[in-house]
Amino acid sequence: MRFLSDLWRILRNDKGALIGGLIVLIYCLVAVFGPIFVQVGDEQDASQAYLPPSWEHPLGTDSLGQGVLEQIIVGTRPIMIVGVLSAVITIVVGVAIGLLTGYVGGIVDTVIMRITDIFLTIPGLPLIIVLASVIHTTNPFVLACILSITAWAGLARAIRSQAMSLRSSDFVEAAQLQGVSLGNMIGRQLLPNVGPYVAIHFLLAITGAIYASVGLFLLGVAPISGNNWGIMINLAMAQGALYTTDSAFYLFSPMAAIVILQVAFVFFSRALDSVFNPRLRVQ
Amino acid sequence: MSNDQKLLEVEDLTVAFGDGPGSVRAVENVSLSVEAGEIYALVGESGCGKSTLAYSMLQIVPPPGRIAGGAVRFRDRDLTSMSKRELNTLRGAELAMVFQGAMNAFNPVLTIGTQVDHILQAHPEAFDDPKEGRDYFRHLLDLVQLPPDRIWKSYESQLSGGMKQRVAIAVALLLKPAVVILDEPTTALDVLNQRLVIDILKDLHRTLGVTIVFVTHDLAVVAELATRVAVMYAGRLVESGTVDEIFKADRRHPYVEALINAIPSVLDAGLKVRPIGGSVPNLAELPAGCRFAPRCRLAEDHCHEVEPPLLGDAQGHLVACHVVNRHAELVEVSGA
Amino acid sequence: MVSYIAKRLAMSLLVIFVVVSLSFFMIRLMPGNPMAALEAQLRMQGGLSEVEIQQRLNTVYGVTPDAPVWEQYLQYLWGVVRGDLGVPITNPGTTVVAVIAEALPWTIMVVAVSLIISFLIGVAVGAVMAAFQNSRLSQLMTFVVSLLSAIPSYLVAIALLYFLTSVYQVFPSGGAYSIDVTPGFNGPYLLSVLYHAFLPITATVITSFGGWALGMKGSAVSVLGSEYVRAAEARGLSERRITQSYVGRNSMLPMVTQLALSIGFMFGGSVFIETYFQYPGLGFYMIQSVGQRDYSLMMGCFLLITVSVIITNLLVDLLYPLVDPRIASPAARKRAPDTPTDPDQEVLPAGGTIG
Repeated sequence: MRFLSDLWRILRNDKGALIGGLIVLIYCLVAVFGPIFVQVGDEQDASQAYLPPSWEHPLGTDSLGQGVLEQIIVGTRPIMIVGVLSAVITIVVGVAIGLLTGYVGGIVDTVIMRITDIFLTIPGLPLIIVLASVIHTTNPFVLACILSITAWAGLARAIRSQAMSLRSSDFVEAAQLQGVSLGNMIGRQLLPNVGPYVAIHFLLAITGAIYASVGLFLLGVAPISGNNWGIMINLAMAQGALYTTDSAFYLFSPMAAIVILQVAFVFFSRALDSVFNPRLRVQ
Repeated sequence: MSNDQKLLEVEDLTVAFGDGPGSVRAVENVSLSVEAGEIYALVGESGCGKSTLAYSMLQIVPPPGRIAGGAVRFRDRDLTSMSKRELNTLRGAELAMVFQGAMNAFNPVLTIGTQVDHILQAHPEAFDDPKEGRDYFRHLLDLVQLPPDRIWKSYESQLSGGMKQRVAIAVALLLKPAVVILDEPTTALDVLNQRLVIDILKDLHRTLGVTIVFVTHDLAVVAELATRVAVMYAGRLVESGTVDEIFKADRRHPYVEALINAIPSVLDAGLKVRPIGGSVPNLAELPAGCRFAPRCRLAEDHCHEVEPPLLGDAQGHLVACHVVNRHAELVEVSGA
Repeated sequence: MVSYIAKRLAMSLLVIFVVVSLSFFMIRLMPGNPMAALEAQLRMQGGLSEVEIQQRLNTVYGVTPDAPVWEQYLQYLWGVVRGDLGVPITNPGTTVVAVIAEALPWTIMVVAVSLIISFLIGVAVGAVMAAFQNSRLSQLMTFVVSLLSAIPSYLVAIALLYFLTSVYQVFPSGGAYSIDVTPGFNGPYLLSVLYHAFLPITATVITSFGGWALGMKGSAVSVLGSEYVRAAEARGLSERRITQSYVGRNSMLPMVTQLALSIGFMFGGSVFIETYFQYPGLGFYMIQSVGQRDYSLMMGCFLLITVSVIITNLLVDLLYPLVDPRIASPAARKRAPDTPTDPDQEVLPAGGTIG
């Protein structure tokens, strides 16, 4: 596919994007396969707290003597699941609404746009915090929905403007003359044309969701269960990791994991941006 | 053609894009001269370098393009070696440009009037006082058949394409330049507006005596408007001469002949279209020898090996073709 | 122009109304809703008569639990309009409004200062990146800036906390000002305020100036390549004039839009920043109240954060016509495109659209 060969060429030139893509890939692999190979031990031994890195625990131990690296590996999956799930919801809702309202226009458009504007204006993060605290849930799907609650609006807006400009193009007119159904029009005519934009936004949506979900866990707003990086940092802070230097690894490892992933996503998405937007390639 | 009549001279100019091995020469060793009072047409297909050549006349080739050789002279002053300051005094005042389509030739957040004021402020020597300048601009708007008051207060988004093109022409003439260069003045317009612009240009040439250089791919406009023509192909000048010579002379470059033959005649029963086979060569992978050879019906082996020099006859009609130039008393033109 | 403002105003009021209704809905109508929880808790405590329980609930949440829902809704709305947002569950001695009124200025200050500084630094950096577009410097700057903007602000906050308040105790770890200083327009107080605000502002600026820089760079690059800039060059305008009125002004337009987007993001981020730096703003109290299940205070903070975002957005909307006359004058609006801007140019904060 031309897209893949284009992408490969861009990646070869843009080292940052290449490394970013690789890192994302690694994280995905760890998320899927990590917990199969690595488990966090059950024994909690406070005397083993904050040990420096060793062969057994390459990133040291936490305050309960459990390996940090293991926790990070195991914690990758829930983070990625929630992130991807939330991004999918954002994309599905945003694109569906954007295409529908952009294409149909008229009163439907006005009403939906007003609603979208409302969601766009309400500050997302505070709303997410409020919702998460009222709805105590550990269900990743519900959590993902909460995270997407305002994110879809921006996407819907952008997709709408694309749909509006596509509306007057020839192939849409041709399809109209053929009498295709609304579903077909949106799904098979308009959708492929907004594909590139959506793909890039998908990655950004994942980073946004990770940012928000980790934030939630950090603040202790979402219920603490299982292993994930946000909770690790939360526990670390709660257990006074700020005040000793021994705990540096415990505190900073999950932070580093998050930062590396976010940065990788951003750099990789730049490559995608170049593929779909040749104008940007001059850089 | 005495030297003091040559207003604008391009001498062995080469314009390249990019650096090193991957660089592409959009214009290669082109020489031509424009006399005062002429209407000079630069003709060619898309990508032949004619627009780049036009930009280099004002030294505004957009990066990554740059002048890689040769010179551009205006009234014997070399523009390629001038400072930005000196160029700014010349630009607009002596040499003016109207961009293709003029769709985006104006700042969208300022009124036309404000932008004209900016020009007047940048060239205080042009008029005794700003009011005089504004009045003259209004006069020009009249000449291009636009309502002066309304245009002055408008934003470019309020004007149609044809209107913008005419405003652009008026703006170009504001400082009474010696030369006006227009890049595809009729291409982006509908037929009615095209007619209007052509008539306006003829009018302005007559009343203001300004020298016009225009770039186009439309031979019909050339036939109507131009006095002299230069034809470019793949970055090189392949023929130049008067309008009559280009259209009717016996000795013509095969490309030019093919172009003219490609225009379907209304008188032709059946309206046969005779396109030129093949396509323009990739400037990054030029064939050896004559660049047109792969598509030329007259091409011989020699053509694929050696680039033909630009040779002229006594009247100054220049053609670069081995085959056509044979058997003629010709003189080699320097820098070809 | 007037209709433009009126429309924006109407929209803002609508959003506020929606948020207020939302808070009512959440408190009253959701399963396991806080009001029912409080009611149950009060009952379990014992020692309170039915009437007293009702009264308590009324003070805290502003509604009479026994009345029909729609009546409660109206009561709630009326209460909000009068400025009664109830009483914090954990601190019945004061009102929600009092708490958030005290917290609001701190949040506004940190957000406003961070915004201004990020904007200034970001736009300057972005302009430089655009001016020297293909140079090594620009590539390096792009790399660094992209990196910084991808880092979540709360992580920077934690890192700063760790290094600058704990390991090397350079900055205080909490509060808006020291206890030994009297509030007022005096030197020591202002200095102390600055001292305490330094880290929160720095944490925010570090992660947000990048977004401005990249946005400005994109905008300036596209303006620099546009035909009207070249046309201006061709007309002999001075470089200064071109930079100011042709490049500068037109590059700033999308920045104003970005301003509107960032404000929401910054208020959202302030929640984290204030929590970690123990800075007594709205976000801090909001998180506190979440932890303590103090829903009336939480909703109050949320409401005020939202209102702040809306008001600042409105102010930015008022700014737009000044910069882009096509919006201001009705004549210019006639032909100006009604559709939203080119999606390629829409700038998204690096953290996605959340916040």
